Amino acid sequence: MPASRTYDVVVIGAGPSGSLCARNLAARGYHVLLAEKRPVVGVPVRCGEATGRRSRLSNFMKVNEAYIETDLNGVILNGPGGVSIRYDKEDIGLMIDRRLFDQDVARQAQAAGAELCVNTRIEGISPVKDGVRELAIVDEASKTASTITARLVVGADGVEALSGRWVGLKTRQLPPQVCSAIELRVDAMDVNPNHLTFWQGHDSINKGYVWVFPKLKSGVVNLGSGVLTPKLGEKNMYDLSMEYKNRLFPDAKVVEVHGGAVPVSGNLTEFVADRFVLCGDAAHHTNPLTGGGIISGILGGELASRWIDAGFRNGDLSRSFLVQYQVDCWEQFGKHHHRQMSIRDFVVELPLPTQTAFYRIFKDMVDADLSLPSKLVGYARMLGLAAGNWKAAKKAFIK
Amino acid sequence: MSAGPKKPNKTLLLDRETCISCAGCVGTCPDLALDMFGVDLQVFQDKCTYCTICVRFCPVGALSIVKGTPTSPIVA
Repeated sequence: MPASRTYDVVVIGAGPSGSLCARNLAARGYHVLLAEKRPVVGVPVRCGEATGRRSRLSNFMKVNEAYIETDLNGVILNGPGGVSIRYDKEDIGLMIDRRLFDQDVARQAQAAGAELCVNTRIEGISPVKDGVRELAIVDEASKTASTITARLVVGADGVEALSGRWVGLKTRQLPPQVCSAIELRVDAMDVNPNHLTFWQGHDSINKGYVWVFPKLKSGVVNLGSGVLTPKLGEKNMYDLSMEYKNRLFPDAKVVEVHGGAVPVSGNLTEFVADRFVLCGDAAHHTNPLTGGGIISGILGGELASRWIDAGFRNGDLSRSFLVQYQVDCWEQFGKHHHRQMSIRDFVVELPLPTQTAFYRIFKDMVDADLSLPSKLVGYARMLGLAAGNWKAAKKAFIK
Repeated sequence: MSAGPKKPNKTLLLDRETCISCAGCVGTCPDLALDMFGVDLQVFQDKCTYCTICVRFCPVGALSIVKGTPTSPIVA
């Protein structure tokens, strides 16, 4: 149960994005409540657990070795027509243990002075009245209901976010732009323990990909698959993942199954309201090509905390001021996500032979270590390919 | 919220054995007919309009739409 009845800021959801935002605001002296509906922060994990490189993470926090599973040294991408691209490069990213990671960030928030309340479920948010929003909360352990007030609410409640919908934002996961994913934790080790391995294309799964991410420290692999817009009666992702599991690790045991929806629409156009902001998965701050959202979620939380602080100092927490946070997000990663989405839409539109050709061009570039001449030649060939498939290109790039 | 004055004789069925509590369906539902309580997914039959979006998105196939009302013997 929250200790107080009134707060400066209430953050809904103690994931990386919400916790980071709460940490920064608490460190600046605001009275912050971090409300988590689950009994334990970080459980259940619903993530492939691959993220960006150490140096990027250290922009936001002190990297704790406890949650680092694997230092990634490359990527293997299995495309259609037997084209396999292997890219080796030191320090391209990390595999982390999301349970420990989420708990670490939540602890940072607590250490900065934010009040973390687990088992605390927000049931509704009122419109702004007298400069505050009222929140209906339920203590899941004792099933008691109460209300608290906040001068500003941060919705970081992830992919199933309802907070945005309560205040009238259009945050629903709309079918063409949402991914259905599942992940099996398999008690085995991949032959390439420092590489991420992907399967994509018409030969495996076109509107999505299958992944194998090794967690070296724990000695398990995350094997999963995700697909855009599944149709009724199509093979579900669980069966597809099991197919790959039986092929790659026939004798290994599946320790855990988890899954969920991945928001892959690119940044929402509207994710702020009067005295309300969204960040992380709730604001669809996820890379639409890879589905990765840890770093962008954290960055979103960081930017949200900056603009909220600025808003408090200016005495203006209206939508018209907070819109600057939206613009900042677009500049910092939204643009990039939008471009990535175009590439994704182009690749999945291609028929099998052209898709194979696309992967061959990409392979030639990677095999030449992405040197400048190889890139120039590669881009020229890709332009040719796009010109030959102008319908797909037009659909993907000119929206 | 409801699909008109007369509700169709259908039920959104959840197989709790198969459900992995991922809550993917909650965000996709246009009618707020699904919500997570702890690790339990709750279906609000009165809000459901049987649009099948959650059925498509369930990665384990735990949701289905069947004929019959929740109390009728047709529903397994």
